[in-house]
Amino acid sequence: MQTAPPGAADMAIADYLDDLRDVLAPLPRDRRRELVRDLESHIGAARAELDDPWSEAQVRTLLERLGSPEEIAEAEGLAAPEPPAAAPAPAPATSSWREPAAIVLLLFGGFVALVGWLVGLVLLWSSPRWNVRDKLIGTLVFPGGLATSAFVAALVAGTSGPCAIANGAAGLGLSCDTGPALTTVILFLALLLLPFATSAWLALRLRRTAA
Amino acid sequence: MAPDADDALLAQLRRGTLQFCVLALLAGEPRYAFDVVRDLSEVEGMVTSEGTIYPMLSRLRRDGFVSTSWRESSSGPPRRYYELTAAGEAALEHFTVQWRTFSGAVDHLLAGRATT
Repeated sequence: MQTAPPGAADMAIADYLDDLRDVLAPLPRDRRRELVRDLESHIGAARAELDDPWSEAQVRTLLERLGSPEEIAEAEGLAAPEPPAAAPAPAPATSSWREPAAIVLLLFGGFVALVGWLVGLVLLWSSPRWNVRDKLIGTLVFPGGLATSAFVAALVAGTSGPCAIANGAAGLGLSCDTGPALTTVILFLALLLLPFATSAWLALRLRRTAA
Repeated sequence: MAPDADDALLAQLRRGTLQFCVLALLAGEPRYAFDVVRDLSEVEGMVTSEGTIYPMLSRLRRDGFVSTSWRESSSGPPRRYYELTAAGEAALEHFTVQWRTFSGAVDHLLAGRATT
């Protein structure tokens, strides 16, 4: 029996025993091994009595007669598994103040000495409504929110604007009368708009998980 | 009665009696656990999940009501055999007396209700 190639019937038994080991995990090791061995022995004996020990359907019926691993664990005195413990509060789709507050604070909280943004960050990462990708976007675009992105945008405009170029690079013979470089304008706008785009994205994702 | 309610009723009746049915099946000679489980499950309403008998056998052993031994098998790995200890026999004897009295009383009450 052990030397035959593994088939669907073998897989069904292996899966059953794996599940059994899982639910019996809280038991002392010796006791768990003993119980698993008892059931393994029972399955082997019951299988030998089947019309076709290689029939997956017959083997599955045999396993059904044994009962689920959970039932056996319960008979062993282990408390019935609590589904909520396995899936901790599966994202209550009810509306909450936390998520909107996170979005507002991430965007504008940076103006309050960055503390507001940090509070928004905590709210963002503690919410089950966003996945890790969303949270990374919320964190990195932009750290500090609109406050820092506007600040950086102002720096970009200030240092690479036509006059800054004229002042800093006059010695190199660059002229000052060409308007602001197109890339500078794009960078400036992007820096200002990206935090808003992030907020819109987070709000959109929120609506999707609520549906 | 709904099937669910039937199941619940039988489960309650089994709770206090099943372990003594197991002891009764072991009275006489050492037996392979698999054969005991099969005998039990062939009795209507006695066992719904065969696998749950194994934790019970283990508990009976810890309580000193049964002892186990390994025996070689002509087909496959060694098998664990269970047999009644003196304490197990005494417990079975005691239960048998109690059960006769109890079930007699229940029968009497049910019969009384049937004739009125």
